[in-house]
Amino acid sequence: MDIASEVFIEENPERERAPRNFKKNYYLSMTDLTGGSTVVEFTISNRIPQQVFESGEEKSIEIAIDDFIDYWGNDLEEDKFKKRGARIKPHLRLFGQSLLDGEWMEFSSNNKKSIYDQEIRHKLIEKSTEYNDEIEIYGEVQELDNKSETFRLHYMEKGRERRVNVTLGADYKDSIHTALKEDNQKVFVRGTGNFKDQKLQKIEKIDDFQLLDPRDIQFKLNDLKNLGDGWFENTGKAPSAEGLTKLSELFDAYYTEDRNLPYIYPTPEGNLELEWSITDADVILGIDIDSLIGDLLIIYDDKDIQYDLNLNTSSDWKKLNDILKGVY
Amino acid sequence: MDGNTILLRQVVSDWIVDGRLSSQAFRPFSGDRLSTYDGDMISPEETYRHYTEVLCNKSAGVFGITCNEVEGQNLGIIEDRVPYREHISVNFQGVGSGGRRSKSRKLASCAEYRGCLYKPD
Repeated sequence: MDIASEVFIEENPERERAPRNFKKNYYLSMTDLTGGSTVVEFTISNRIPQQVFESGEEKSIEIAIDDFIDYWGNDLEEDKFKKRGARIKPHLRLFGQSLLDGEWMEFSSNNKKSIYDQEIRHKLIEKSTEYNDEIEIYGEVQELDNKSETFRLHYMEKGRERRVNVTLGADYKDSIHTALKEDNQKVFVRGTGNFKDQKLQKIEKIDDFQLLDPRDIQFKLNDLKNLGDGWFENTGKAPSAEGLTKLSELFDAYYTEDRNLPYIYPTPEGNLELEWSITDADVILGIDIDSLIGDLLIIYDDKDIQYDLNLNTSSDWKKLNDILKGVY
Repeated sequence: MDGNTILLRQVVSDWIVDGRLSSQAFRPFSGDRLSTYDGDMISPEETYRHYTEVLCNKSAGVFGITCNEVEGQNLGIIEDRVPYREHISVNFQGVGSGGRRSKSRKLASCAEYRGCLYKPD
C-alpha cells in the first residue's frame, strides 16, 4: 500500500497526497490455497468499493502490484527500481532467506509473472545497497594514477583517516596536478559518489574542484569536527558539530572579507577563537559555539577596544566586516 | 636566569594555522599561571620529550619567549620549580580577560617571530 500511495501521486499529479484513508480502506485476504506446490491466492479488497473507480485508487494498486512483481523478478526499470526499492529494501534481507537451491517463489497478477530465488535475491540485495549520491569532501590529493585516470583523495571523517579513488575530471586536471605537487595543499571536491552499504567506494565524477587557502573558513570549521575530546593536555573539549555547521553557514552568508580570512583555533572549553591582523592592530574574536555570541577585542600597541557581537544577527556581521575593513 | 633566558612552551597542532600561533598558546588555561620550562636548564628537544613522554600530552613543537618580553607586558616571573625543577610560571594574576588576551597575543607574536625551536620529525 506504501507503493500504491506513491503510484497514486504519480498517476494524479494534481494531488499532493493519497486520500487520507487510502491505506486504511484496503485489506489483504487469502482467498485460496491449493495443494501440491503450494499456491496461495491473495485478494486486495476495498471496504468502500463504490469510491474505487472515481478516485483512481484501484488503478494505482494494480500498478503497484505489477511493479512489486517486477521487482521480485529483478525486472523493474532502473528509475522505478530506486523508488520502489526504497520501500521494499528494509524487508529484502529476510524475505526468502531460507530458500534452498532449486526452490523458488512465483508471483503473478493478471498482467505480470516473476520468479524469485536465491540468485535473484542476491542480485537485488547487491543492487539495493549500491547507489550514487552527491558528495562534498575536504581533503588532500595524494597519488595520481595516469594509467587508470584516477587520483587518491585523503580525508578525515569523524576523526578517522579515509582514502577514496576519484576519477580525473578533464576540466580540473591542472588544479589536481598543482594540488599533488604542493605540500599540505587542501582541496575541496564536490561530485558524484558511489556508495555500497552506505560506505563511499569511489567518486565517479567531479562537479567542482578547488585549491583551498590554508585559512579557508569552511574547510577549517569542517576540519574541527574531527577534533576529539582531550586534544589539549588530555582535557580539551571538542567544539560541537552542530555549532560548527551553524557558524559555517553564517560565515558563508554574511562574511564579506574574503581577502582577510581568520585564523581559527579551538579553545580548551570547546569554543572557538578567531584571530586576524589588520592595519596597526590584531583582532581576537572569542565565540561561544552554542549561543554564537562573540566577544571581540581589537589590540592596538597602546590600547584595547572590546565589542560584544551576536553572530545570529546580520547587523553584527556587518559590524565585524566593518571592523576588519577598518571603517567601524 | 636573566632577561635573555628563553621560557619554553609546547604548542598543539590545532594552535598553529598557516604558521601563526594562537594567542592561547601563551595564556593560562586555568588559574593565573602560565607554565613554561626554563630554557637555561633544559633544551627545547628535552622539554618536548618531557611534555609528551612523561606528562603524556600532545605537542606539535616548542616555542619560546624571553624573560624580557614577559616583563615588557608587565607580567611577573615566578621561579616556582614545581612540579619539576625546570618549571617557571608567568604570572597573570590581577589581569582581566581582555588584558590576558591582549598580552598573550603580544607574547605569541614574539614567539612566532623567534620561530619554532624544536619540531618532532
